[in-house]
Amino acid sequence: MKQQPIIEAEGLTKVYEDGHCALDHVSFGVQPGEVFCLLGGNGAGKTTTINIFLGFLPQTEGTAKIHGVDMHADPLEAKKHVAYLSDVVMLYPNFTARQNLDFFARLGGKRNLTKEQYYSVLRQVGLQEMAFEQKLKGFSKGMRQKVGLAIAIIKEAPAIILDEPTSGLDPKAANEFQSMILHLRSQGRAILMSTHDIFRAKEVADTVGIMNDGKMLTIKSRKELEHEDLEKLYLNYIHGKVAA
Amino acid sequence: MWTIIAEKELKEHLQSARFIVTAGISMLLLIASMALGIQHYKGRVAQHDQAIQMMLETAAQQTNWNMVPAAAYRKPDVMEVFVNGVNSDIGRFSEITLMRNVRLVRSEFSDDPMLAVFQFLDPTFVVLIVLSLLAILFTYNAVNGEKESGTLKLVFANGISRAEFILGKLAGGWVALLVPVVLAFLIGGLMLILMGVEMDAAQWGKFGFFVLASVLYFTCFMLIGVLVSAFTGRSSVSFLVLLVLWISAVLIIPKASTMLAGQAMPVATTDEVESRLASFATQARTEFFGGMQQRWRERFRPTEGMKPEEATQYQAENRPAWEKEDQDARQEMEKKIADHTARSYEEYYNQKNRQEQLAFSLAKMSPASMFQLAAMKLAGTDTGLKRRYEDAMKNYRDQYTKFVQQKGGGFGGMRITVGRGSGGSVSMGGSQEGTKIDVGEMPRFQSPQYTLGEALTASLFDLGLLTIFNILAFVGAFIAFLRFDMR
Ligand SMILES: Nc1ncnc2c1ncn2[C@@H]1O[C@H](COP(=O)(O)OP(=O)(O)O)[C@@H](O)[C@H]1O
Ligand SMILES: [Mg+2]
Repeated sequence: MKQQPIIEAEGLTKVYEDGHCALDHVSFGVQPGEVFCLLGGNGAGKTTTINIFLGFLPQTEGTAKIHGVDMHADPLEAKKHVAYLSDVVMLYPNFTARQNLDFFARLGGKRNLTKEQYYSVLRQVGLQEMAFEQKLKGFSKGMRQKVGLAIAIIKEAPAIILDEPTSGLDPKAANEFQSMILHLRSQGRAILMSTHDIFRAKEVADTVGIMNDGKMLTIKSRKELEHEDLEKLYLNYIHGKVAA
Repeated sequence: MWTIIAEKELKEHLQSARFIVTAGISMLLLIASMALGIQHYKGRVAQHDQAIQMMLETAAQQTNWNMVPAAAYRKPDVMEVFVNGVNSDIGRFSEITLMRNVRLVRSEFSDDPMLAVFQFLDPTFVVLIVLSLLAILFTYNAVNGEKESGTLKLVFANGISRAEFILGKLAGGWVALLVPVVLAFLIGGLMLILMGVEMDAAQWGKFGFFVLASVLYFTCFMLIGVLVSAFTGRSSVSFLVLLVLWISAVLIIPKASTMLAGQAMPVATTDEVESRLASFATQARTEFFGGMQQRWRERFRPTEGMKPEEATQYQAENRPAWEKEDQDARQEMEKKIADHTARSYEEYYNQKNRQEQLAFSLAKMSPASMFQLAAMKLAGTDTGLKRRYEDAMKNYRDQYTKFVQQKGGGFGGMRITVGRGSGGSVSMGGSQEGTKIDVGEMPRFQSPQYTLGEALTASLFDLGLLTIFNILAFVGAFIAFLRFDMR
């Protein structure tokens, strides 16, 4: 039986001002403890979907709900239940890792956390101790990504949305990142992430939604994928053919 | 929520080396300009006192009030420390003689051209140029920079409204800029006290309002910075746009408006006015002497047939009447010249005023001009300074003239015949030849009053404009951000 999804898109459609249809009636849901991968090439509509889910962009049609709250109707309430990691994670270069975390934690409604609590989250995402009180200026992309993930974690939101979180990371960092995602899944969070990396999707996702040109071509569960070659499936789909 | 943003904004600035260095330099410049200003002011005071002392000493050697080199000296005002304004362009004193109109001569710039090069190093200049640049430098990417670094989306992934965010950003950024500025001015105030500069309540009041005007001014640029950064997607674009705006507002508009006003309303220079006055006077005198020759020829005509004794007798009888006639004609001629001079100057000042008004109105498109005008009017170093002193000096000249005449001295030698009262005597003698005059009796020149009330009334309009500009920029920044595309 299916529970009420934490992240839920229904007939999501976006037509940009220039008339370009970036999303065409996309529907999907992400359950607690599920990692849902939006898989698609550049321009498939992944970021557009995510932007709608965070209220950065109004949809043309359809609904985007977080924890049962319509993002468009009540964005301030809906956002309380979602944590986000954007594709660009520069953060505040003049703040230390802990200060960055502190600021976003407070924005997310977590006041009065102790230094130790911040450290514990930073430790959890695998940032080196010595970097906790260092300014982000000198951080590598991987380190900043970890701080970004800590920011997403500390909010303790039931929904986590990540846009291309592993792009630009070296294999080691990407692997570490992946294990963090799986850890969050085990905590029962609903995780929506976009990627154009088929292998990453295959390893981490419980469900993969293949997108192309604004359309959700197919949604496959991990079980279904066990018997199929995702790469082939993907290529077939985006070339308009249905896999045999 | 907005306080979290404000706090972050403030902390982020205070932790940035770039901010610390730039704000520190601005602070130092502000403090240095005040220290230099105080030094300069003290020098001016000493010079002023010495000049008066020397005048009195010379006077004390005289036996006749005619010989006193009377002059009225412009008294330095502490406010020059903050707003030099036209101070250095205007002469420091005027001779007080009946022969010549009151005219302020020997400005600092004319005495020391090097000073003219460095005239700008007063706090007003630092605020005008440096603080506005600082304000722009730290706001040009206030909004679009957060978009570029991805933090905008991260922030708005939380339950915070746009209004709260922009309010917090403005408040935090404002305080960050306010701290070094207010600190610098506090140190400036402290220096005034420690360096033994006497200031009355009105002057402290003017100083306070000057600080307020400075704050209003850089706030304006800060708001414009945020406005532009919320109007453009990329910080490189907003930086360029702001640079162009800054150059126009601070460098071009004030100068261009003066030039435009000069073109639209040409006014003769003082040299032209004076050469015209001189030629008018020459003509009047030529006419006068021509008339006198004519009259004398007429007067002697009846004696042509007379015997010499008869002629002498006739001339002796008529001479007083003839002299009286000449005297009247001369007085009429002098009065004509004096009236014409007064009228010409009046006209000149009126024209100049109108031109100035036009220039100022044009300039007021720029907050830089609003600030400059407000600051000068607050400090009393505006273009009205010359007028105020000349009026006071004219009054003093009248007073002094009366005094000298009472003392039985003619004033200015031969020409005294023009003066009111003393008939036509060309008396050079004081009452008692050989006795030195008592300089204690000499009326002293009193500097024109410029009260805090007057300063505020004069600057109210410009301060008001600046405030309105701030409100508009604030509303603009607010609206621009509400419409900002944060993807
Ligand atoms: N502001 C916009 N105006 C018009 N078209 C846009 C805009 N933003 C994105 N698009 C278009 O929408 C499509 C989907 O973009 P996006 O969601 O960013 O793709 P993805 O993240 O999957 O690479 C692309 O074709 C892109 O060009
Ligand atoms: Mg994308």
